[in-house]
Order: sequence, then structure tokens, then C-alpha cells
Amino acid sequence: MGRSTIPWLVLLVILAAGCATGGTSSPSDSASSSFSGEPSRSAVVRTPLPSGFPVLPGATPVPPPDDDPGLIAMWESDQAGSAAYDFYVDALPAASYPIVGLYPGGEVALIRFRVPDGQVWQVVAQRSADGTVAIEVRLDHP
Amino acid sequence: MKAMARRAAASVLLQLAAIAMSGGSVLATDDYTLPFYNPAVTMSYGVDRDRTLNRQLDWTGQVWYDGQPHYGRVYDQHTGVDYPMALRSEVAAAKDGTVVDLQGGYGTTQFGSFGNFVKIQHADGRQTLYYHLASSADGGIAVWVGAGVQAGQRVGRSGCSGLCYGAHLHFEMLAWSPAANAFRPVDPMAEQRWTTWPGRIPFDAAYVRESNPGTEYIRRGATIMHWVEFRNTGGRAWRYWGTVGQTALATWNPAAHASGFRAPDWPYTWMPTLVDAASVPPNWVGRFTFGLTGSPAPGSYSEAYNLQAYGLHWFDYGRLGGYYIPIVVTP
Repeated sequence: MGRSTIPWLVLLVILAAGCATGGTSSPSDSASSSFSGEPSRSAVVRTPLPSGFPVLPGATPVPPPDDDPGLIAMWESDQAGSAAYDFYVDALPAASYPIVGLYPGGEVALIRFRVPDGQVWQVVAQRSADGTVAIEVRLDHP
Repeated sequence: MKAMARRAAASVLLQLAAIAMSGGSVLATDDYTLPFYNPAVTMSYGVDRDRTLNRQLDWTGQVWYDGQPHYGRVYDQHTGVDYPMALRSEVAAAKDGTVVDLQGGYGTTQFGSFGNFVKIQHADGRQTLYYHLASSADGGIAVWVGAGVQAGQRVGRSGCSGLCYGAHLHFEMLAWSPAANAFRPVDPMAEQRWTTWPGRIPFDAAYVRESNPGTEYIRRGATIMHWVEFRNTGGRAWRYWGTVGQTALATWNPAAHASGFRAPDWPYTWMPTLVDAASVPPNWVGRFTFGLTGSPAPGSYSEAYNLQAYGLHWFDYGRLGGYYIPIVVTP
């Protein structure tokens, strides 16, 4: 995401907020509620996480924020360090998600993998300020 | 007094000439090698050149405002260059220097604020730091404080100690900041301290051609000349002079064996020649010219050769194309 894409993203978020729903993600609900005058919450049409997608044992699901459409799913874990990275290095191929790139780091790890329809997604494990680890599944981005 | 001044001036000129001929390790900016040998290693994250929180300036000059990791580029507040590598991979000194600090007491994969490292002081005033190493007990530290090291020398093995999310090497370059009165991280890529772009190993080569790709026939006792060319696919310039990057053709299988085909022009029994040119930068082709003397008894032979960063590191023989010369010595 470069400097020039930021205004487009902001515009997208504003447009999305303008089409806000009453809390569901169904496109038809979204369309009807956008005219209902209900308080804006979210119009993000989020890519669903496939059933059976591997989840780090002990990780707690966290509702993804509304302003991040590229985010597919999110968890929190108290297993800091390599636990999430090592888990997904093994679990993704075992679940038929071929890995296309490994990017370990000091306070963040990113794994790019391919989903059955050919798209590339990312698993990102990132250290939070409170010492826990945020684990995210995202659409691929540079 | 005049003679003394002349001698002093001549000495300075000689030293300058030596610096220039040796590749200018003081003056040039291509004086650091990548800190590993494995040709498959590529960078996962570089230095964040913008220390502002949630604003990242990566090594290509692109700015990101999201605080998210960008693979191959940067993550927020990162002070070094991360290289993914399997646990216990070889880690090499990026430049000649002296080990000034190390830690090897943490477990190879022990997570925490502190991890195992080696820190080297270099003659140009900079320091390099090799972080997340394996424990001393696990072979993670191959040097000691006060030890002199050469560029390319193995200093330890990688691990995942300290703040580590997946096994990798964190390589950091530090420069003295008078304002801060302390060493501060700098970006080796911004300063073009490498001879190359990220991901390349220091010494690598690919076969191009040779004077006679077939069998060399040598009359017993006679000497013929042979040359072979390799493309420099590594990160460092090959040099005829100096120590860092001085590149030689040497006998192989077994490594550095005394050859029966040694000609009078060989520097050593196991080394036919150094690279012909004073400098062969990355991507350029370097030629190695040498004699072959038909000393052995008449018969068929083959002799393998590999390249060596002289005194430091052998090239990958397979990537060199498995180079050898079929030789027939005739009566």
C-alpha cells in the first residue's frame, strides 16, 4: 500500500461506512438497512474463513475491526515467539494450503500461502504491546 | 630531512595505491559481505529508516503508513535486516574486525527480551551485530571476545533466541552517533555497504566457457595454457589483490589437493591461478588463465577445480557446474 493508495482506501472506507448495516454481513441486509437510518456500524464484505482452517491451539477469536476489509480472521494468543509461526509452517501444507513464502522476523512473522481458488493469503503473527500475540489471516498485500 | 619527507610521501602514496589496488576497503562502500553462505537465503525484512511509530520507510524508498509488516521490505521500528534460515545455519562475519561482545547463555529457541549474539568492531568505526543465535552449548557462538575475525569467517550458528518470531538471523550495522554519544543502527542497504542487492550470497559463480571444453591432450613434460570463465553471480567483487574477495581457482575433489598437472605459473601446488582481472564486479565475467603440465605418466585423467574466496570460503561446486578438465597425457 503506497502513499497514492491511501486516499482511495479512505474513500472506500467512507463509502463503505455510508452503506452501513445494522450489524449483519449479508449484502441484501446491507442494502436495506442502509436506507433505514440505523446507526452506522459496518458494510465490510469480509472474505469468509474456510471451515477447517487451522487455528493455533489455545488462540482466542477476536472480532476483526470494521475498517480493515483485507482482514479475514483474527485471534489472540499468549504463546509468544515462534509458536504461531512454527504451527502454521506445518499446519498450512497439512491442510492443503501450499506455502508460497516464509518471512520470520524479530517481532512479527508472516507466511504467504495459496488457497484452493488460487488466491494468495497471509497469516501474520505480531507481538502486541501487552505481550500477547495477534494472529491474523489476511488477503495478500505487498 | 628532505629524504625523510620523500620517504614519508612515498609511503603515503604506496599505502593509497595499496588501498586502491585492494579494492579500497577504506574508501569504497562495497566492503561488507552478506553474513551467511547459503545461496537460498533471501531477506525477509529490512531496516525501517523512519523511526516514527506506524510509519515505515523501506529500503526501496517507499513509505508505508499502516504499521503492518511488508514482506521483503520492512516492519515498523525494525533496526536491522532479517534473514530467514533454519536453526543452526552458518553465520559469517560481514567484514574483518574484532569481537567486542557476545552472549551465548540463552537457549537456542528461548523466547525473551534477551538472546544470543556476537558483536564485531570494525576498523572503519562501525560495529556489526548478529542476533538470535543458537546457544553456545549448541554451537551458536564460534568466537570469543577479543578474537580477530576475517570477512566471511564463520562466527556462529543461527537460532531463535530473544525476541524471535520464526528462526532467522537479525543482522544489524551500528555507527557511532556523536549527538547520541552512542552507537546507533544504520541501514547497510541505504549506504550501499553491500556489493549487491539483498539476498545474494557473497561468493557465487556460474560456468560460462573455457578455452577447450573438450579433452586437453598434453605431451608428457610439455605445458599448455588453458582458461575458463565464470560469471560472478555472488554479491562481492572478485579481486586479484587484497584479502577480502581475493578469488582463486583451486583443485577440488578433494579440496586443495596437490595437483600432478601443476605448471610453473601456479602460485601453489593446489592453486592454478587467481582471477586474471584486478576486479570482477557482480554479474561480470572473470577469466582464470593457467598452465597445465603433463607430468603424470601417459594416460587419461580428469581434474576438478572449484573457486575459493581465498582463505575464507569455497564456492558451491554444484552451482559452478561441476567444473573439471579431462586430460590425456601422451608419450
